Amino acid sequence: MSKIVLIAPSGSVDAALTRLRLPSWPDTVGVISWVCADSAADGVDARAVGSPGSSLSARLSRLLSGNPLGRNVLRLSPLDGGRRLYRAVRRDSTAREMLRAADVVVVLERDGILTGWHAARRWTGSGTRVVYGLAPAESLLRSERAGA
Amino acid sequence: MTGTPRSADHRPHLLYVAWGYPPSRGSGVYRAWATANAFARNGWRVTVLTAPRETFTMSTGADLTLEQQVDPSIRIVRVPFNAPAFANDVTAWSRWRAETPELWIWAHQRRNLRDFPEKNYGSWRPALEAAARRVHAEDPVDLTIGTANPNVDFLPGYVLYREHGVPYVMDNRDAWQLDIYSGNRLSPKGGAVDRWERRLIAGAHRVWFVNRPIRDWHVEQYPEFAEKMDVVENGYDVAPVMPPREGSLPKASIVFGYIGTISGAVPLKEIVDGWALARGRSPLVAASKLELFGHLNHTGVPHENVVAVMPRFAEHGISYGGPLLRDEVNRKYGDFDALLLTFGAGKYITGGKVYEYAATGLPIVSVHDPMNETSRTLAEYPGWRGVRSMSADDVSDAFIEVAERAAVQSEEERVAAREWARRFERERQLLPWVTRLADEVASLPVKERSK
Repeated sequence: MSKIVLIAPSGSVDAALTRLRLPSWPDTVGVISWVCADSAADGVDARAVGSPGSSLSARLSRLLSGNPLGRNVLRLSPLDGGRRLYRAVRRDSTAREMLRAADVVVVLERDGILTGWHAARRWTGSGTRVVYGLAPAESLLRSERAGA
Repeated sequence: MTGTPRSADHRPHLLYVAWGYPPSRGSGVYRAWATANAFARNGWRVTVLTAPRETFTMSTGADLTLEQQVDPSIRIVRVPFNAPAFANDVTAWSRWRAETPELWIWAHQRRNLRDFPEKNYGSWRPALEAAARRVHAEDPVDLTIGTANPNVDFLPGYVLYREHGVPYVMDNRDAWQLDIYSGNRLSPKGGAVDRWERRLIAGAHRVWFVNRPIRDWHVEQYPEFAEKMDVVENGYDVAPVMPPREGSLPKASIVFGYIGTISGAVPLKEIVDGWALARGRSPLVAASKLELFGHLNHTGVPHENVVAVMPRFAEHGISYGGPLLRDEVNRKYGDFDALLLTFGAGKYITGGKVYEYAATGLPIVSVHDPMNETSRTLAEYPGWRGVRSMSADDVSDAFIEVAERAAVQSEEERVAAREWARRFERERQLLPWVTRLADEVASLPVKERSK
C-alpha cells in the first residue's frame, strides 16, 4: 500500500487522478490545495489549507503571470503563490501530517514546488519520493505496483 | 575510410540520431522509431544515438510497449543527458530552484546556449559528438540521419561529415526558425541559430521536411539549397484493427474520439463551446459522447489552458480517459464511431495522427485552423469535414454533420475509406528513400566519404 499526496494549489486534480489511475485500492490519496475543487472523489482525502488571497491579489497575480518577466517579478514579490502555500501548509497540522505519512509526494503545479521541497527536508520520511510532474509520478507508481 | 577495419558485415552502416527514441512517448518518436526500423529491415546496419531511458521514464513520460517494437538488430547507444530541466526529483533540487523555478530555468537555459544555441538541449552537444566519433572509430559510418527537434541531433552528422566526409541527412519534423503555429520567424537573421542552420543545411546531403509548406518556407530562406530539400511525409505504422460495423442504422448516438497529446495549443475551449452548442441543436449529438485520450501537454504537467476547460467536460458529455500505450491505441479506435482531429493553429502543422485517423475509415471532424496543411491532406478522404472557422457556430455545424454521417456509415463505406488511406502507409513514404540513399551512398567516391 502506498500513501500518495498530490500538491495542487488550484485544486484541479481530476486529470492527474485519471492519468495516475488513482485512487486504486490499497493506495490512499491525499490532496493539498487552497480550495477543494476536483478532489471530492471517493478515496481522496482533500485538505484545503486556507485562502489563496484577496481578489485584488488574485487579479494582480493573473496579470503578472501572463509573461516571463511578470512571472519572475511575481515570484520575488510578497504575492508569490509558492511561498504563501508553503506558509499555509506549515501552519496546518493536518496537511503536515499527510506529508509526514506520505510514500510519494507529487507536485502538480509550480506554486507547489516550494512546499514539496521543504516537505522533503522537514516532514517526510527518509524514503519518501517527491517529484514534480505526472510522468515521474507515473513511473514511480508503476514500479511500486509492479513490486507490490 | 579512417584506417579502422570495417565490419565483416558489408551492409551500409547508418548512424541515426534521435534524442526522442523509444521508450520516449513524445509525438515525434514514431517517425524516429519507424525510420530506424525501416533502414534496419531493408539492408542497413543501424546504430541509434539517443538519450538515457531515465530521461523519459522520469521526465517526459515513457511508452514501454513501443520500445518492444524496436528492430532487434538495431544497436542503441544511450548518451548521457543531464539537462536539469528534465530532472524532476524535487529532493535533489537546490533552494534557489525551489524558490524561484522560473528564474532558475532562465539562467540554466542561458548557460545551455554556450554549447549550442538551443534551450534545454544545447549542453548535450559535447557528449553527443564524442559518442558519434566513438561509433565511427569502432565501425565506420556510411550515412548519418539526425531528426529534429532537438536540432542538436544534427551535430553528429555534421561532425562526421567535417572530419570524415560521411554524408548526412537532416530530418526536420518541425522547423527550427519557423514558428509553425504563427508562421513567424523565431530567431533573427544573422544570429547564432541562423548561422548554425545555414552551416548545417550547406553541408547536408539531403534535408527532409514533413510537409510542403514547411519545405517551401525553407526554400525561400535558402534558395541555393532548394534542390536537396525534400518532403518526406509522415504516415501510419500499423492500420488500426476495426471491428465490423454492427447493429442497425442509423445509430441513435455516436461516440466521437480524440487520441493525441492535449497540449496548451489545442483549441480545447473552442471545441467544448462548439460541442456544447451542437448538443443544443442536434438530438443526435445530445445523445452522443466525446471521449479524449492522450497526455496532457508534452512535459507531463497539464497546461493551464487545458486545466481551465476540463471542469466543463462532465456537463457536456465529454470525458478524459488519460494516456494510452502504443498497443492500446489501435484497439481504442474500434470503440469510436467518428474522430475529432485538432491541433494548434497554423498552416504549417500536420500531426502524425492524421494518417492513423484516416486508416480507421471513420468519419473525421477537423477542428483546427482551416488553412492547416491537414485540410489539403484529407480533402478527398471520404467522410472528412473541416470547420469553416473556429467560431462556436461553425464548430457546431461540423460536429453535427459528421455525427449524421457517422450514424449512417456502412461497413462498405468504411472499408472504402480505409482503402483510400493506404496511400499514407509509413512504408510507402520511407522505402523509396531507404533505397535511394543506399544507391547514393554506394555511388559516392570513397574520398568524398572519408576526407
